[in-house]
Amino acid sequence: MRWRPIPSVLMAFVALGFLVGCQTDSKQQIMLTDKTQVELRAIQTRGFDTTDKPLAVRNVISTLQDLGFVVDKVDDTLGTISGTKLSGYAMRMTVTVRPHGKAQLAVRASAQYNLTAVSDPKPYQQFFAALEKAMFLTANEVD
Amino acid sequence: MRTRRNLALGVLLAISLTACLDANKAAMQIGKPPEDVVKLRSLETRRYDTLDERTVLLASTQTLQDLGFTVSESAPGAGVLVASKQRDARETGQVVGAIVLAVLFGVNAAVWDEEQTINVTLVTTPIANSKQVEVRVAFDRVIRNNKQQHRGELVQDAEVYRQFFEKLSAGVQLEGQQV
Repeated sequence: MRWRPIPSVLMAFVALGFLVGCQTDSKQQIMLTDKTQVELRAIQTRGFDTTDKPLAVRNVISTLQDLGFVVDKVDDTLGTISGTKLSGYAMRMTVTVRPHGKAQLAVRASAQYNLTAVSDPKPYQQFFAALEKAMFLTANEVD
Repeated sequence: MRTRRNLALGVLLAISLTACLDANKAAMQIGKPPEDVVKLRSLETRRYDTLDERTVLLASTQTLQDLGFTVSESAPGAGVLVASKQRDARETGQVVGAIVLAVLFGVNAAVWDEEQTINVTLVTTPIANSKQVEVRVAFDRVIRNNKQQHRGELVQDAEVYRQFFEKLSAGVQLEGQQV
């Protein structure tokens, strides 16, 4: 057994750094969210006064492209669009477009930044501001 | 001379080991259903009183988004949704253990999980001769440690599935009301 004081002390410091915000069971991440379902849906969803789903899907795709995302997957039946943005970080985003009532479409965006779910309202506000311009429609809060 | 003999021995040993490993036998073992397959299926499955499979799929995408998943594949005709998310996998206990090992045996001895990719496959099936749609969901995860090694596991915790279906049920009800 060799005693290596310097690396060990360094290691302990590094590990202590890791300990901050550490979890006891990483499996809990499967169901973990840092906001309630209602809060998240309010932050991530906007209503648009149109029923033209194919057009909305196209606008979401072009908005994602404008924001630097590469589109990975589109399902125009379910209205699901997923994309990734790599720019020194990895941001993955799924946007869903679905009917909301008789005269509206609900567009919901959800994203992760590296290893963290994005739950701050700001990035979503920016996304919807860009989408509003592409759609020529106002993004309304959805209850 | 001695080195050459050792090398030859090593090669011989490697050949004999390769002969022992029967890929078909291994595949048969791996391909076998898990011991408690019935229990697992019941964990993974719920039925909803609706005729509208599309509504259940839409509610499922919303629940997956609630949980921070990114949809990576969807085939509504077949009732399939696939999604994943990448998350932190570090655990306090493991890191403390790594510190102890590092102190005792040096930095190289310390191994801990760093990140994980959690995958989910969700399949909806209309039940013949009934007004129900069945949802089967399965989670697995691939965990990468600080040595860049990967290991995978199927999630078989009843609690995970119970919580998921609790969220999905609320979603199906909500979605059903809107359409």
